[in-house]
Order: sequence, then C-alpha cells, then structure tokens
Amino acid sequence: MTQEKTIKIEAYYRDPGLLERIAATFRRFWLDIKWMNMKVEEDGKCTVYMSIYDGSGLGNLDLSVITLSKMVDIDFVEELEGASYKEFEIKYNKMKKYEWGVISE
Amino acid sequence: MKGSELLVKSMKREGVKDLFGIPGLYNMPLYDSFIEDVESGELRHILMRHEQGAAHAADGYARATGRPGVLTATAGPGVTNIVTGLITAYQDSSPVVAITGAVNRNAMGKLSFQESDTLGVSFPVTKYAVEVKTIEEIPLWVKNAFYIASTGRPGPVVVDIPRDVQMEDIENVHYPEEAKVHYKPFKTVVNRDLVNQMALNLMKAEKPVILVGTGVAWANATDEVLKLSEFLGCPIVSTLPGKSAIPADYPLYVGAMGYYGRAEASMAALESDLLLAVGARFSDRTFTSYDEMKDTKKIFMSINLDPTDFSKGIKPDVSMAGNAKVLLGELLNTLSVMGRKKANYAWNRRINELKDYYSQFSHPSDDGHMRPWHILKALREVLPRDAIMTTGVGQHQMWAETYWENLEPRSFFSSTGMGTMGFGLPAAMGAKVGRPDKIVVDYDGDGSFMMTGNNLATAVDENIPIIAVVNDNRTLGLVRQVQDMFQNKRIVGVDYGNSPNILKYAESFGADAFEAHDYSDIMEYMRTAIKENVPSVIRVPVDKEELALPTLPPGGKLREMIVSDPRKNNKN
Repeated sequence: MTQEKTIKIEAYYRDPGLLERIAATFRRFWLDIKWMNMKVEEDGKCTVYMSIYDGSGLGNLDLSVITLSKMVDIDFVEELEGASYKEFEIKYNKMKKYEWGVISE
Repeated sequence: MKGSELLVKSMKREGVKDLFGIPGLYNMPLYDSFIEDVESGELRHILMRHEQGAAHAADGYARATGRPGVLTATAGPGVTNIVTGLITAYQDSSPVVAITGAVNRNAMGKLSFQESDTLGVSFPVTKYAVEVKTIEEIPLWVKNAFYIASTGRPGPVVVDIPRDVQMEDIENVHYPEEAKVHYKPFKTVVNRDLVNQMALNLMKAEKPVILVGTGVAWANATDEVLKLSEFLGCPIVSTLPGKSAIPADYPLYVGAMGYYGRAEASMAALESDLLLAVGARFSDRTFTSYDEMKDTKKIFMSINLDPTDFSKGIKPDVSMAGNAKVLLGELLNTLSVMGRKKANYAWNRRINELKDYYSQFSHPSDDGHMRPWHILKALREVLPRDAIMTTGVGQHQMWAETYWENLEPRSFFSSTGMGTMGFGLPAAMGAKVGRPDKIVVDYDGDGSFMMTGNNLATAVDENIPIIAVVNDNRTLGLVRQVQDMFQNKRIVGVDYGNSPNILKYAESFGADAFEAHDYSDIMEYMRTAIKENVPSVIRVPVDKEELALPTLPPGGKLREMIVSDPRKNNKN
C-alpha cells in the first residue's frame, strides 16, 4: 500500500487559518507531513506543495486528499506522481534568537 | 453607518427574521443596532439561557424550516459554549450561521478579557469559519456565510467580527448580489450510463432494498423515493435520521436499521441482494460491521450529494453524485421507459415474515411498568399527523428510533451523528419558532433533559409553547444497560438520586407540569398541553431496568442483535 504522496494544493489564502485547516485534515486522519512549501501571490492565490506520509498504516491517504479537496478556500488538489524535492537554501545577514520568551542577539 | 448596523442590514437581506443568542461585551454593538427591528417585530431575538442551547435552537430551526438557523454569542465563553451545538449541526449536515463578537483587533493575541481563538476553536467543528477584518467585508461575509451554510452539504458557518469593526463607521456601502468565495457546491451530473446501469440492476434484483438517509429530507426527495419504491415493489429501510424523510405508515417502509434499529429493517438490509442508498452515508451506526455487509455479496449502489462519501466504509458498485431529487427523477424516467417491473412478491413476503417474527419481541407486556413502545403509541394517537418530534440522546432516543411513527417529512429531529445529550429541548424550541403552526414535542430522558433544561425558562419568557415528554428513570439508561448487559452488571456512575423533582423544576420556570401514571394520562395531558398552548412538561416514570432493544454487543454485527431482554428469558 502506498505510504506517501506528494500533492499540490491550489487554494485561496485569507489568513494562516488556511494552513491550520490543511494540517488539521491530515492530523485527523493520523497522517504526517514530511515537508511542505508554500507561496502566496498578491491576489491571495496560494500554492502549497507537501508530502504526506501514512506512518500509522491506517490507509487514509486517499481519503484525506479527497476530503481536503472539498474544503472552503481550496480550489483543487493534485496528486503528483514521480515528484522529487530539492531543499532550498535560506541566506541571511544577521540572526536574532527567541528561546522560551527570552530574546538574544 | 456603523458596522453593527451594516451587519443587521446584511442579515435581513438574507431573510433573517429569528435570532437565538445571548449578548455580551463583544456582540453588544449588534444588539444595539437591532433594537428598533425587535421593537417593530421585523426581527425576533430569543434570549436563551446558555449558548449551547442557542446553537441547538438554531439547528432545530434549520431542520424544521430548511433555512439556516441563526445565533449570536459573545467572545470567550460565549464562543466556547456554542462548540457542542456547532459540531452537532456539522455531523448532521444542518445549516447554521453563528455571528460571534470578538475582542478589538489590537487586543487579539494578548490574553485580553474573554479573548478566545474563535477560528481555532471553530475550524474543526464547522463547515467554515471566518474573521471579518474590516467593516467593508461585513456584507460580503454575511452573504458568503449563508451561501456556504445552505448549499452543497449543509453545515454550520461562524462569522467572527471584532467589536471595533462593529463600532466603525462607513459611508459607502456595497451589498453584493452574489456570494464571492472559493467554494463550490457539489455538482449534479446526470451520467446516462450510470443511470441505465442503476436501472438495470434494480430491474434484475430479486431482493432489492432502498436505504434512505437524511439527504432525502434535505433534497425534498421523499416523493421520488416513494415512487421508486412503488414502481419496483421495493422495501425501504432508513438510517436513524433518515426516518424524518419517510412516512412511517408507507406500507413498504420497514423501519430504521442499525445499532438500535428495528430488527426486521436490519435483517432486510442484510438479506437483500441489492441495496440502493439514497442520501445516506454508510455510517458505522447503520452498518455496524462493514465486513458483515460485504460478505453478503450484494450489489451496493449509492446516490449521494457528497462524492467523498463513496470513499468511506463501503465503496458502492455503482454511484451517482448529486441532488437526490434530480437523480431519482432521472432513474424513474429510465425505469418507466424500460417497462413496469413485476412486484417482488416473494421478497415482500419475506419482509412480512420478518415483521411478524420480530413483532413478538418488540411489544413486551406492561409488567407493572409503562413500556416505551406503549408510551410512544399513546403519543401517536393524540398528536396530529404533522407534529414535530425532537429527541435528546439516550435510551429514549433509541425507543423513538424503533417505535415513533413520524408521518410527514421533516418531522423528526435528533442528534444522530454527534449523539449530543441536551439537544432535544432547545432544538424543539428552535423548530417551534421556525414552524409555529406545528405542535412540537421534545421526547426526552431525564439525563438528557437536565443538560439543557434551563432553556425552559426561555420557552416560558418568550412564549414558545413546546411540550417536553420526559421519560424519567433516574439513570443514564443507555450507559447503564451496556454495563448491565456487557460489563458483568458492573453498574457505576450512572444512577441519579431524587433531585430534582422534574415537576417542581418545570413549575419553577412557569411551565405547566403533569405527572403521567398511565397511558391514558399521557394522552389526556398531551391534549391539555396542546389546548393550553404554553410550555409544558409531562413526566413519565420509566423503570430503570428497561432496555433499549434491539441492541448489539459493543463492536457487534447486526446478525448478533439482541431482541429481547436476556435477563428474563432466552428468546433471542
């Protein structure tokens, strides 16, 4: 049985609640998110790529995707076969650290 | 114009005439803006005694009228109190719109007084929840909320509006003519091949059965189901909520099947060679074991609005997604072209045998106590055909599932998906507000009734003349019987003491109260309550040893159903 799927979600972004609802859909089906990438355009159009993983073996991958597809703000979900993922690099000049409410430069 | 005035005008444009709620700091601007509408009678506000009751009342209103029920609550405890009502509506696909007040925008996230993360709390229990961020958005999101709640698979929607947005002023108002949201109601696509395949399967089947769900009621497809049944000579069984779609006196209706359903209905579903589900998902309450159903090797067919239901439980051999009324109409047209199907005489004889066989168990003698079947029979005799019944959750709900004969569509409402105790009374109040022309009865148990019984005060204050029939056995009977039957009689944490006296409790609110000692009392007091037309409570004492039958062992299969009291005899 397939244990992992890479999916593309085309959605409308109003606020971070969109991600909350997407993540909750998979949580409720006992699935895990291995990685994700998201970009929001100025008009609110949002594309999310993510890999979902059935670590529990309950076989809910298909059901979770079709359930996600009928959520308000989701235009459609595509299942991508043979998808590969390349980690992206973050460049920065300075770092400020927050640790349990304490800020350090 | 203030945001709160804009909110009221937007709600009125959606046809809102009744609003259940409780005011607090954060929805007070809304209240301030509808005073004149309340005074003129253009809007009715029903002040409930707990926000959970407001949500159930809005739900009952929606189920009785087919239009969204509306409630309002303040932030914090107001919002968290409606959660149970929202998920109850969500599980049973009932359109409810909740307008909630939120703390000011600049106070959010700072543990402000009564601040709740309304969206975070609401997302898992609603079809949608939205924060209105600016005053300009109010008309659009009210429009969207009603559209989302009432189209596709109906469900609850929360519109959360910060207090400062309600207090802002706006000069140029734009009311949208149409909803504008990234949301698509489910489509109805008539696929000729699938219609033909369904028709052929139905013509060939020797032992077909139609399983009716609550989707038939929402689609107003009762006539089409009955025509299909008549054409094919096909028995009908239903889910528990699906009872509301089929008149109990329709000759080919066998009853509600499932965990506590009628034995003959469950057996008919098992013995059939084809099962056509209409507006019903194959829930674990209806099919208690999917393996058991699959083992029958029957053909499963499904007509359902939500295509995702085809991926749950049992995958149908033939399925059509869409509006039940439209698709059944197509199916009927195709069948009529194919020619009249001969009646399934042998199959219907078998159904009658099942009915006859199980009737010996389903109407036990009085044995010194009033029996639920007889209580419901007495109520049926005195209530008009179109009376609405709601229930709480517990043994009495199961007795209503088995014995209550609802005779009109949309006249039986219960919390079936969520199993929410306390649903019955406020839902009855909502139904009565929506359908004041109907007699509305809350058939309840004492455990369930006491969970939201404080709303009886509202029924009296607001003159909502519902009649609660409370089966009082001083115990949480459904849990008790599981402990009794399947946990070695280890009965714990279920039996109540003598408090309160249900009659004095009802009278303290100003309701009429009656104590029924026998079946004729029930009928007489019901007649009196109807005539008096005031909120009334009829207490009916029930023996706590009474069982809700048929039942199954936890996790059991339908063939394992227990149809008679195993403590008294071995007839099973």
